[in-house]
Amino acid sequence: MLVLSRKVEESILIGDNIEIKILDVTGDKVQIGITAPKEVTVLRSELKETIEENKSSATGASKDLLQELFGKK
Amino acid sequence: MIIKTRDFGEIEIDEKEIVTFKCPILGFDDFKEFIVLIDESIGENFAWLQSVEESELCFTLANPKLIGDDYKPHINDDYMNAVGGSYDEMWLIDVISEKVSDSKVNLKSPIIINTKEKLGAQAISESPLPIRYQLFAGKESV
Repeated sequence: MLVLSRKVEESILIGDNIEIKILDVTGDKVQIGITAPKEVTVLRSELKETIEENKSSATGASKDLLQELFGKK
Repeated sequence: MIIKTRDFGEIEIDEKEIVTFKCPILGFDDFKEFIVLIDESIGENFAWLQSVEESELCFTLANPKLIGDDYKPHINDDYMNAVGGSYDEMWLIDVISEKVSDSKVNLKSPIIINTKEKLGAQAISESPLPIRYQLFAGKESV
């Protein structure tokens, strides 16, 4: 992993058209501004799992299975 | 209006029941209009979040009551604003498995709905909550 030190208002360039700028640092929180082309997905890493779970839910259990498991007998 | 659904065929819904997600369901940014469906034979522990725009898109939801009263995720202002300031309904996106104990719910990112304003969002809570929480841990049937 490449490790760089940056101050507030300084930025990093990735390739020709992605810029990551440090906007603010307060305690253990860093505010980051990202400029990237529209087709580049920018995601907080913990959201990836939520997207996976959303997809699993959308392709998951049928009504029949829910009825079988949880239907009122 | 009549809509096509994934699990219930064609059904008639009241347009006033449609919930608009200004803040999208993650990974499904193109879809904004959903309706919550409850099946009487199952009751209010589970529901369906059916897309109005795409009949094949439907999520299954679990009622947070199943988790218990301790479940109170902190929802930040961005999501509150997205649903008009407050919410009065919450659901958890679930992945139900044939083996009941493998069924999971996402406690980190609940669906919040303001039923008056008909606005919804999938909020990402800042509370340290699990994304894959076993809904019926250790149980073989419910």
